[in-house]
Amino acid sequence: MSEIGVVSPVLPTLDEPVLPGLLRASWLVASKDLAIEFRTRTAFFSALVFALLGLTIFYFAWDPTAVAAIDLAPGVLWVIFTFSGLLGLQRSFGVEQADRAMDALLAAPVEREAIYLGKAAANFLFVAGVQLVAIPAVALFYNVPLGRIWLSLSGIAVLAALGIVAVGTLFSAMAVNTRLAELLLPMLSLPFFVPVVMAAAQTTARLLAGRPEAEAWPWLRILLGFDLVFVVACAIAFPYTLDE
Amino acid sequence: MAQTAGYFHAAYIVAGTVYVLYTLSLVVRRRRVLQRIAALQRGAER
Amino acid sequence: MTTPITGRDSAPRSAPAGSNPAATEAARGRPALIDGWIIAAALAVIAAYVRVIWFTPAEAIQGLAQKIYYLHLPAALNAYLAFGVVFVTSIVYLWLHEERADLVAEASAEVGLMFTTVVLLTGPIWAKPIWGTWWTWDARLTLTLFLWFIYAGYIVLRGAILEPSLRARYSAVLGILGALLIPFIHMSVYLFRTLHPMPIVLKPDRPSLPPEMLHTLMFSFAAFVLVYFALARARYRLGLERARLAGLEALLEGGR
Repeated sequence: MSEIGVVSPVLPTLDEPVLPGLLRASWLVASKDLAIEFRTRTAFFSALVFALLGLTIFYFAWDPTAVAAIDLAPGVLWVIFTFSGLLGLQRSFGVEQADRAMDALLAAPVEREAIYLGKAAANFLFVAGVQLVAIPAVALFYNVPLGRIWLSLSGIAVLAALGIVAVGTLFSAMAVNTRLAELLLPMLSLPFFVPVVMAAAQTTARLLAGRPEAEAWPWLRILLGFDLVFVVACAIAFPYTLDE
Repeated sequence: MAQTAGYFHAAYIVAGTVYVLYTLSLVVRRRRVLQRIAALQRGAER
Repeated sequence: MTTPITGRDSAPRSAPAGSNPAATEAARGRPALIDGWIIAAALAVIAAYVRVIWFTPAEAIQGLAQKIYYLHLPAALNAYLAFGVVFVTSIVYLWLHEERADLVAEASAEVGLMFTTVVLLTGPIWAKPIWGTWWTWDARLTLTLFLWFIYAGYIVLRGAILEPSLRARYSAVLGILGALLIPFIHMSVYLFRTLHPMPIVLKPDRPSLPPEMLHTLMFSFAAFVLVYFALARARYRLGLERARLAGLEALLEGGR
């Protein structure tokens, strides 16, 4: 397919102020990735099917007499989130492998951080998209009233997606240049995903159980701190991962 | 006194094994590398 | 007052590498494969072991198993010390592009993984008699488990990249990010534990130590830090020699 790796010719010029240039370049990288994904749709569809399959398998692996649905569902939701997210992250830099598209991207006068932000943004939308289907699916399959807490849950989903995408995009860039790409991405990322999943699942469980929101606040603080630290750290680290 | 001597010995044996095996692995790997360097140097002299 | 344990304990539980005659014999005429630092470290460990068995009182209720602590804690200290070294040398590498910093990181990571493994093995063996159960997701041990995962990822990452400068750069990034992760794991696990009922532990693990035990602990710390230094140094040297080998191979490949 010839659409892979084509960068739009409209790029920020030197006399533009830096920050709008960075954002605009990021947006261009993100929209390029999303355009590719939208045209082929295979990765998104696969991740979606994977999530639904996972939910189904967990359902049948569960003994309803031992654990109540309301106790199981948050864990299942966020574990599936992690693994379907990894699927999306795998292809994030995988698309650049064809036709040495990465070199073309690097040859363009975009700040390296913009490439990272753009890719991360595209991954974020990917992960959020899968969640948009997975969360209602959990509510449906496990018969849990997620709708009651939909606003808080959306907030958690945004923060959690941000966290895994920040780290996963960076590790995807690294893994793609190694001999064990598919093995390395999960192996490196999952330890970093743990605080995110923990915070998200524990918060969801508490809100679902009707506990006061104040109890969820310590977890949200950790999640926010994680997002802040790792978005910045990974954006700074990203240029070091480029082969130039 | 509780009879916990078995655990004590198990721990020291397990830990000792790990330490010794690792040290030996360093020895073996170093010997291998030095042999290959020597072989390359002999090959280059010809 | 402990009665000296004879029989099994007077036989060496495993021969220290420094006294392996085969290796030194084979190395005659070539650089000795076992260097002085490793021998010194081995002797220090034996001295510590002797002190633990014969010159340190056993705790009355916990029995002999409590003495596993003299093995477990120093290993944990080294596991984290080694990671601190990885963190610092990773920053140094990215800042100065000094290849030797990368080799130190590589050495420290491998030795650190080894120490972390010892912590994770001796922890449950200690926990079973003292706490009554093998694994309790105790905050410190869980953190060490994650340290093990980060080390493992670091070493697999290095194994998956052949080009030295790319390998060094990527490892350094992981070394720094891994260090940033540790506080978050600590906070998460701590919060998790304070909000979840945990298996009731038979005994708190921090009794106030009488001076003899404290001194033995300090002695063990010193002995095992020496072990860390000796092994890391040997591993660093191995890294140098492997780099030299790679250089030679590249030279000969280019010459053809």
